[in-house]
Amino acid sequence: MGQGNSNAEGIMDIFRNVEEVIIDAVGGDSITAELELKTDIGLDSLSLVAVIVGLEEKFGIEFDESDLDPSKIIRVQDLVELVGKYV
Amino acid sequence: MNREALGKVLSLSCVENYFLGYFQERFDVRPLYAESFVPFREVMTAFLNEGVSYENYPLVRLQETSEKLGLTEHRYSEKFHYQKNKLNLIRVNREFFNRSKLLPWRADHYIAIEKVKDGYAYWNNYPLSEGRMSENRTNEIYDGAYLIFQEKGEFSEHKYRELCALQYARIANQSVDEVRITEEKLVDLRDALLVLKVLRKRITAWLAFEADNKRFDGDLSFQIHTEKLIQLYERILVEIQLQIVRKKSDIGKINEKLLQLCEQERLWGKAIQMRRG
Repeated sequence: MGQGNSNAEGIMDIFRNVEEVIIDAVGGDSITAELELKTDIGLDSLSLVAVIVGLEEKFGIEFDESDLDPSKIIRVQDLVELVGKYV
Repeated sequence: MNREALGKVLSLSCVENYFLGYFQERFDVRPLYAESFVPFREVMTAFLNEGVSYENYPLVRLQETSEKLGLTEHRYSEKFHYQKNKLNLIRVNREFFNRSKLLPWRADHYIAIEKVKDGYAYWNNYPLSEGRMSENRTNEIYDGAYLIFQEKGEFSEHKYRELCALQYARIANQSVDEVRITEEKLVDLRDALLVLKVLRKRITAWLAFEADNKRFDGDLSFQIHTEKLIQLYERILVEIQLQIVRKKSDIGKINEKLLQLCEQERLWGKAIQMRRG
């Protein structure tokens, strides 16, 4: 139970940081995990990279190129899961 | 018009963005892509050797094709006078962006507006946003240029077939030279690929329209070709931009991906020729 709570808190923490990086890149007030990066938030290939690099700086990580396939990073949730693999 | 639609349309300028967002709710916009094929080599040469940039690449704009086909007409004015039941675009000054972190590529940027009680609703394609503003705020951000588009509804099948014949011929004649770049051309390459990616998506949509009208065989294997091509564009764009932002270039890797892209372009062009009805 304790372990589950701590995982959930960890994911929420990642989500809040992802949210902060996205808002920092494109503006706005708040986002949800289900939003599509391109159609709902307006991230194109280039601003997606700005977000990716922002996440790398925030978490002190460097994503492997093989994890950065744009066809697999569709929603905010995908970014949260991607960061989760590294932290 | 809705914000979600603006994020999905195949535009290469703000005006094209609102134009598609607005008229796709009124008619099938896919015939508008009948002039969207530009050979790979032509785009590469323009960006890599002729100093063309993303914001000034001389493409035939969709609104021009639309007028040629008799679908819409437009009027330009320096004086803003809102017109109901039409697409109203106003050019905005820098004041409009004072609360935004992103700026558009071009200095002359338009937003779409619609009259509502106590002011205007607006849509902005970059950064993607929508909202409301008062008459006063509208006057503050207005930059002296006003575009109005309206549906004409006189689609010329003859003109459309003429444009299609030219486009099929251009695709058939495309030769894809292998491209190799050096580090200082990385940004130019990125911009060329951004344009090409949108153009290829437009051709895909146009061919789907042709397939619906039994003039093209858009079978599953063709769809797989196309998907592979577009994914390759996306992947290489992310790779280039990462190298630019991280300031760590690996031109060998980019050139390798460019070779794959050229090969995929060749296969895609051949696949189109083979499937023309």
